[in-house]
Order: sequence, then structure tokens, then C-alpha cells
Amino acid sequence: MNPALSITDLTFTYKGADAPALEGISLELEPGKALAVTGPAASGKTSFCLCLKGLIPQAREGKISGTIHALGKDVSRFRAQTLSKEMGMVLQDPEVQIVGRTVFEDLAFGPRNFLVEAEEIRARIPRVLDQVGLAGYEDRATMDLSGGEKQRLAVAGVLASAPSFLILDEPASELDPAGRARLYALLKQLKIQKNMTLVIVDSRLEEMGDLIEQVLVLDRGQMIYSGPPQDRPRREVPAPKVPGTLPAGPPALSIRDLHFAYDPAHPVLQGIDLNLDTGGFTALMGHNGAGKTSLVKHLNGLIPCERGEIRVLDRPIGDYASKELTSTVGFVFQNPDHQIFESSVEKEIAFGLVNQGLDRVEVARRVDETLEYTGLSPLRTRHPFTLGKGERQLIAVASIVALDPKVLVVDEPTTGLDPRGSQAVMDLLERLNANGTAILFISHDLDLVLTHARCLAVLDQGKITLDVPIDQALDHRSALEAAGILPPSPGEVAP
Amino acid sequence: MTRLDIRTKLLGATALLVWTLAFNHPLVQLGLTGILLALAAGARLGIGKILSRLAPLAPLLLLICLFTGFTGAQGFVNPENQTELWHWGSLTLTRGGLLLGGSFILRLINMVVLTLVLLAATPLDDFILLFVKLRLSRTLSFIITTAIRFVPELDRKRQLILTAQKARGLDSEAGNLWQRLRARMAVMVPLMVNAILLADQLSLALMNRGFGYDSQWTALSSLRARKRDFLVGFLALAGAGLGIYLTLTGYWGKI
Repeated sequence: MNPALSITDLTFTYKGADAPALEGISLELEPGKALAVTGPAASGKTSFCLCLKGLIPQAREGKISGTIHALGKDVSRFRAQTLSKEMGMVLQDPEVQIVGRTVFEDLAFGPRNFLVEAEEIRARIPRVLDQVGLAGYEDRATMDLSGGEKQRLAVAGVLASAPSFLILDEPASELDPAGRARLYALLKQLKIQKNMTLVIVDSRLEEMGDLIEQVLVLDRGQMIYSGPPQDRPRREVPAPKVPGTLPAGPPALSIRDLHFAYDPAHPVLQGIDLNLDTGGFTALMGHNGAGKTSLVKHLNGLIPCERGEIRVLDRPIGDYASKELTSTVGFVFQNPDHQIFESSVEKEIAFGLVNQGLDRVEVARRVDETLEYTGLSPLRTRHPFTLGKGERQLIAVASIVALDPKVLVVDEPTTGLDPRGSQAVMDLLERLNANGTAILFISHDLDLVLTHARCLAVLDQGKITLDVPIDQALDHRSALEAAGILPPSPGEVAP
Repeated sequence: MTRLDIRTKLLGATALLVWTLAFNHPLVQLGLTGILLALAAGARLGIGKILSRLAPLAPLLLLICLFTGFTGAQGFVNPENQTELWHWGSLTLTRGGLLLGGSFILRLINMVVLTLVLLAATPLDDFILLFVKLRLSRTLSFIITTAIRFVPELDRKRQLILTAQKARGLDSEAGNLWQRLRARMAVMVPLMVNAILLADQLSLALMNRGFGYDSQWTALSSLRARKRDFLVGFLALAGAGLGIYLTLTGYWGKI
């Protein structure tokens, strides 16, 4: 039997990148079988998927070598649109994938491009909506859907084109356990009934169970393993950090009975109690939509505290003037490109200081100090957009560090960064913490949390369901699982 | 309203545009605002969404009100409106100036709401069908309509950027003109960068879903004018004609 997918020595380097995103990947997958692709963040999983459909190098420039044959076709010889007729792909970010104003418009988009008859399109749409659990959603506006609904719509949008090969990049990242179980059952059904070949980027191998016949483990673009799931190398999770003892005293941040809702019918935060000790380093984890961002936005006044109490350095948050609060509680957002706008690194770092109303001499002194401290001095005159994402994230952290905050809130500081960039950002946070800055960071990466945090707080459906020292975190498997965090089995934790 | 043919909707929109541009009296503009809000309700466009689109224009509206409020006392049809209410140096605040300021603000609001209603009440497909009828290519039609559809996504990005900059102490309303301009730049530059990134992601997503597989695509509907379209279209044309007649021949709706 000819394989549905055959890859030989695939290597790809993005234009302008120093190191290859993928190197020497070779594997085969039989028709009607499922391959799970796993690996740490920035290990090349998405690049691998884009290569399979020809979107790399057709839509993403770079240098590619090796061969890929999918469904008997050499993908380098076909347009990505042509391959799309038989090979569907669910992208990692459903927001971008959705192009229709209504659910119906969106689902019809793929089949219309492939010139499927109008009657057939009308018949397919209710069927695929039912398959993904969105029956009756045809007329709903796509922009009003929740994150989980958008993810299911993205899957339905690809199924509507009736592909025989399906690639799914993190298709369950926004789904709750019940949603994931339903998706995995659907994929299994498609595999068995339609002999569909599946490539799924997802680390939940235990949950997927017998859906998967083959696993590809990637790390820094290298193939660590390819073969049956039972023989794969065990995941090596770092041993939790020893939390140590912190000096006694009032907490840097104290939240009591905090409630919040954008719409009264749908509470976002329901009675949050949380402390961040002076010199503490707490990780906040939970599902997308659990309320993490809404919670941290209360901490520097981006959302006013209306019900409950928040104290910063033992003073009610309401007693702080806006500028004083901004310099006391620093806030680094997930995407550095949402804040960078100056023409040089030093100007970018100076921006917050100028907003504080400091004089030129003081601004210059603090910029120099911050550049030195963060290791960005060699880049001080460079334009931030000529630098890599890891360096831009460092600049974003540095521009807040310059304000000398006593508390630093960081939202997913390593998302989309390569291991070197992640390490540089986390090293900087560790140094700040060692110098007394209390840190609260949001993350979905349990390995990162176990390595760096002293405490773990878990937020689930607007409530804190776990708040423990980090060395006790893995003793609470059920709370972690309920919040969509995949705890390692005891054998997977490094001694 | 959502069931009308796109050509009828555009005729209706043109008639409303004629009225909002032709008359300077705030009461006429207010009446048009009422009609547009009723149409918005018919198109299931919530007041919250409208307000969120208007909010960024608030400083501009304020500036318009200030500048027109101090318009000179000449040029008003009604002598009452030439009355000076207050003056300081060469600046004179008149009753007519205030009315004109109110009218300009309502006119801007009307034009924004009109666009929002038209977009909310018209499927993407109808725009494409119309563009094809106008002999524009399907690709160009799709690019135009998709660009329109991504306006809310860009607005979401704008909010995220504003939040990130506020966390660094940005206050877009504080300081002198230069400082406020600089504060706007702190939002505009990242917004442009994000718009480029979004366009890049969108092109990949479209290729992924087969856009460009063929020069044609399956038509799910066709433009067809029904009786109600002729009726509404006639009323719209008559309304536009009446508006032009009134503004050319008399003082109605002027200040």
C-alpha cells in the first residue's frame, strides 16, 4: 500500500533565521492512520504542518530541502490551493481562519472555492455543524462566538470541503475536557468510516488514546522520535523548584473576594482570594477564558476594582494615583508588538519613564541602567522591528523594568519564543525576583512554571481552585486536569 | 431591511446621505439619527456596538464642536442665529455656531451609523455579486469585502494596543497638542504593524481554504429585485430628489 504521507529528509529555514525550524525529518504514514505531533513550544510543529500542505514555502518564505509526498502528490509541484481540495488544515489560531460574517457564509467558503454544487453545499453545512456540536448555528455572527465555538467552527470549515487528509494544529487548545472528548471521537469516526488520514498537533496522547497510531516528537526542529505511541520517550518534566522561605511581612499583593463581570449574566471572576508575597514568584494557570487576563487587569487599574478588595504593598489599590500605580505594578503583555512603536531600543525603554514625567537626566540614567541590567546595551540604537521576537519581548519587559515596579505582572512571557528567547526572558524575571520584585506570571507551560515559580495558582471558571507552593503542585492532579493542565505521570518527573 | 436587494439598500443609503449632507439644522440631523437607529435595530445591530465604534471619534467630535461654535456671526439664514453669546478677543461664540457644531457632530455620527447598518444588513456575498455585476474581478471584490470585514478585528487590536500603552503610563488626553499627537502615534504605529501581520496571516488562511483554486466559485444566490425593492427604491429616489429640491429652493433645514 502506498503511504498517504511520505517525507524524506525535510529541512526548512525561515528567511533571515539563523537556525533551521525543521531539520532532517523523515517518516511515512499509511492511509487512514493518525499521527500525533508533539514537542515543546517552538519545536517546529506548526512549520511541519505548513510544509505538508505546501504553505511553506508558498506562503512563508525560506529555504526548503527534502521531499514530501502527500496522497501520492509531490507537494512542491502543486499550488497550496490545489492541495487544499484533498488536504484540509485547521490552523492554530481559529480567529484568522474564519472569513465569513455568519457561520453559514464561513462554512460555504471552502466548498465554493472548490466549485461544489450549491445544493450539495447547503446539504453539507448542517451535517458538519452537527458533527462539531454546533447544530443550528448557521445564522450566528462569527464575531459573536466564544473561543471554543470558533475553534469548532474552524474544524467544521475544513470538514465542509470533505478532505481525505486532515491536518489539525492544536485543535483542542480552546476546548474543555468534554469538548476535547467529542472532537477526538469525531476524528476517530472520520478515520474509521472515511479512511481519513490525520496529522494532529496535540500533546494529550493519553486522552486521544487509540485514535493515534503514530507519534512524531520534535525538539528544536529535530525529530526526537517517530513511531508507535507506546514506545515514545517519556516526557521529561523538570522537578518542581524548591519554593524556599520568604521574609515575613505583608504581601506585595493581596486580593480578597474579588468579583467581576462584563455582563451580569456571565460572571468572569467569582470571589477571588489570592496573595502574592513580597519577593514571591507565582504562576497563574488555567483555561483560555478562565478569567486570568481579567484578574490581572485589575492589578494595575486597567479594570477598576468594584466588588472586593485589592491591596498593593498593604495599601488599598484605590488610594494609588494612576501614575503611581503604573510604576508600582508593572505589566508586560503577551505580544510585544502591541506596544513597540519607537525607532530605537533606548527610546522604547524611555517611553514609560517620559510618561512618568521624569526629567531628561533621570530618564537617561534609568535607560542606561536598564539596558545594562537586561543585557540589551549592544542593541540600544537598533530599530526594535529589525530584531527577533525573543529580543522584542525582552525590550517589552525592559521598558516596564525601567519603571522599577515592586510587583511585575507578566502575561505569557514566552509564547512564540524559541528556547533561547524563552530562556533569556525567564532568566531576566528570575534576576528581578532575586532582587526583590514580586512576580505574577500567566502561563500555559507547566514545565516553565515548575522550573521558575515558587507558587502555583489555578483559575478555573472564575474561581481559584488551587493555590499551593510549587513543590506540592503535582499532588493535585484533579485540579490541574479540570483546568486543562496536563500533569505528568510520576515517572515523567525528573528526580 | 436585511431582505432587501443590495442595490435598494445602496439607493436608500444614498438618499439618507443626501439628507444628512444637505441640511445644517440639528433637528433634521437628529431625525435622521432616529431613523438610522431604528434601521440598526432592524438589522440587529446593538447600541453597544454602535457606541464602541463611535467612542474613538469622541475627541474629533469635541474639536468640531469647539471650532464651529466659534464660527463668525455671518452666514446664518436666521438672524437670531447671528446673536453673539460670548466673546473673548477675536473669538466669538454664536447661537448659530453652536447649532452648526451640533449638526456637524450628528452628521458624522449619522454617516458612521449608516455604514455600520449597511454592513450589518448585507451579506458578504451580495457585495461580491454587485461588484461582479459592475465587472470588477471576484478576487478584487473579495479583497474589498474582506478588508471591510476585518475592521472590527483591527479595532480589537487597537483596544489591546491601547491597554498595553496605558500600562506604560500613556494618557492620550493629557498634555499639550504635541504630547497628545505623540500618544496617538504610540497606538497608530503598532496598529499598522499588526495590520500588516494580520494581512499576512489572512493570505495564508485563504490559500489554506482554497481561495484562488479556480477563477470562478459557486454562486449561492443571485441579485434579484422584488416588488418591495422597487417600492423602497422609488421612495429612496423620491426622498433624495425632495432633499435636493428643498436645499436648492428655500431655507428649510438651514440655520
